[in-house]
Amino acid sequence: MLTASSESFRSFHRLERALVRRRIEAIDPLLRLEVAALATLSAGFVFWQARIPLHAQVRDAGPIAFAVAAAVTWVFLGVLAAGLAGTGMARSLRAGPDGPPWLHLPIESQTIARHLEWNARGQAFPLLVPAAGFMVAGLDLVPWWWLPLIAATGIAVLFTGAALGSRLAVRFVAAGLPGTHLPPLVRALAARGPVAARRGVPGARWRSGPPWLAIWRKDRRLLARASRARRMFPAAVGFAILSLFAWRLPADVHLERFAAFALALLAAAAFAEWLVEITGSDPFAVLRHLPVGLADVWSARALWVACGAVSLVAAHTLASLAVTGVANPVFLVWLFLATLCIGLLGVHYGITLFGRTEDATRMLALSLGLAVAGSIMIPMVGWLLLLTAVLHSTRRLHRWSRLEDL
Amino acid sequence: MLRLTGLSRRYEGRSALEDVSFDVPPSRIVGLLGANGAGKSTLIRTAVGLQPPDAGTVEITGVDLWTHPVEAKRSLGYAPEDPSFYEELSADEYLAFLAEVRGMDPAGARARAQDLFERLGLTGRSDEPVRRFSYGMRKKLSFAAAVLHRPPVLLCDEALEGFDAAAALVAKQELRFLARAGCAVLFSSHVTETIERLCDQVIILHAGRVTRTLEREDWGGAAHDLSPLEKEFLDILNPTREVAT
Repeated sequence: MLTASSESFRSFHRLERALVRRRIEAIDPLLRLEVAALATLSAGFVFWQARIPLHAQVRDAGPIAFAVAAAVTWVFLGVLAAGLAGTGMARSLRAGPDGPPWLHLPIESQTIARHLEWNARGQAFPLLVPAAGFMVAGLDLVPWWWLPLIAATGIAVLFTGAALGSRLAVRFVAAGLPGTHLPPLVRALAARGPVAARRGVPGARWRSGPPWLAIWRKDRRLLARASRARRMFPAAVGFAILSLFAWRLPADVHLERFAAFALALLAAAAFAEWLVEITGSDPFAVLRHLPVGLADVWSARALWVACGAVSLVAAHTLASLAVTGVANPVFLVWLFLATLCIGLLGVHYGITLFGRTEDATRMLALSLGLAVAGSIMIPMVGWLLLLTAVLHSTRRLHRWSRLEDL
Repeated sequence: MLRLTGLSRRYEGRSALEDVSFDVPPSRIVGLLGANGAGKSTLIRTAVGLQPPDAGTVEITGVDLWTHPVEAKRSLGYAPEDPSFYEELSADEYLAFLAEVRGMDPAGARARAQDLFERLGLTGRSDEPVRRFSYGMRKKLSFAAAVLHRPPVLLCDEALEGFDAAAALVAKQELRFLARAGCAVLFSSHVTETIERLCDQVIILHAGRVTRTLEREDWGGAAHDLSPLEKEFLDILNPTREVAT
């Protein structure tokens, strides 16, 4: 006879299979191919970087060296998986997890927790790509039967890391919430809802202007409110400030410039992620029935990109003034163009993957990761890849007018 | 005028709309009546540009919605069944944003918004973020957003669901006022009583097809804004009220 918990376990298993199927179906076939190509290239890069050092280590210390390297890699990826899944879980609990009002269902909190953990684990799924690249790098270096064992261990470490990260996130979100006699997940879920006291916001400003400017002003207002977009913005500002401090490093000017450039690119990447988020925050039904076209949506966000690029370059001009006289003009022009490209890529992914912000963010991360990998392999190739990605995403922009609310 | 011609839409092989054609002329309130799943929301979402039709055209004041979307949407108002907003903006800010996007005169738009807030019972809450609004308040705000610019074509999808009796009366008065001013209103509902009282013509949708079109004379009803129960309720809320019909 089936118990209630085994029955609900089966129900959730069926639900999860259906959700996976639906999520795959929601990605159009061309995008699936692009994601597969990017993943293959990323795994190829890891293989290319890892193969030679691994070969050298195995030659010097025997196959055990590969096992040790794999252990270190799995621990690193496991910690990363914990961070990604934990962040995803915390975000989901704060925003209210997908699905029904969970607490009204006659199921135990552990069952709900297991399902939400499964959902958060999806955040760590892309880590399988570098893991696969690493495993391929081990071919012919160790006895063949080691590889499935090492791979299985890696998958187990990734899953365990993700599960631990999710559980820590639940405790973190529940900390300080009322009802300490209740399980942390129940406390976190019960805290959702309009409990804040009535408090107004500054009055609206009734203005006239072109639609794109109205959208830009609206974005600016959202940036000032307790929105997800606002929570993401400080990362970009933080990296930008750090990049300015790089000019104060007690080091050679070339090293200063390199550090400033690398940190400024990180700022640009965080800014692009914010642009994906702010573009995805437009409610579908609001913008689509208004007299707003692709040009308006694009212009509003391109203005943000221009503001970001100009501010970053102006700040670097000023910061480098006292240290080096003036930063190399090539550096400044390069930084301006790079910020522009990275920002535009974020805008384009936000527009073409409207309503699928997580997919857009992943595409952005994959594209930028690939560009960095390309530049490490062959100088300048990364920039070529970045430019190609911008041009390719520009060609897809017209799809915005045919997108549907899924 | 709203004109739908040969509109068809399928979902994974299942037909949601099948060759639907009708006009909503200016100064008319046309009801769209149908059971759950009859295709009402699909029709309205297709007619406002939220989803492309598989076949057929939508014309708003003579402009094709899917070939000239921005121009067509200038004349459009839409109150959805399940409204979405920028949750962190206040109701005031949300309407100010819509007014700017629609190119309205700022002073006129502000006065119109305040008037709508007052009549719909949102005054005093209009400076709060929308995320704190109840279901009924969200529906009222959505209605206010749809009629703010006095559109020539207005589409309402279960727009009065969640309204209290007083606000529902105001909303119906507003719809009648807009229709008298020349607005073509398509009002979808599954509640026959509301459509019976409000509309000049009713289109009955069944399994994605227009099965019947009825004029007010066909169901023999005169236009009434209030049911006896609504009258009782409003008397309690405001004993000195005067009902404009």
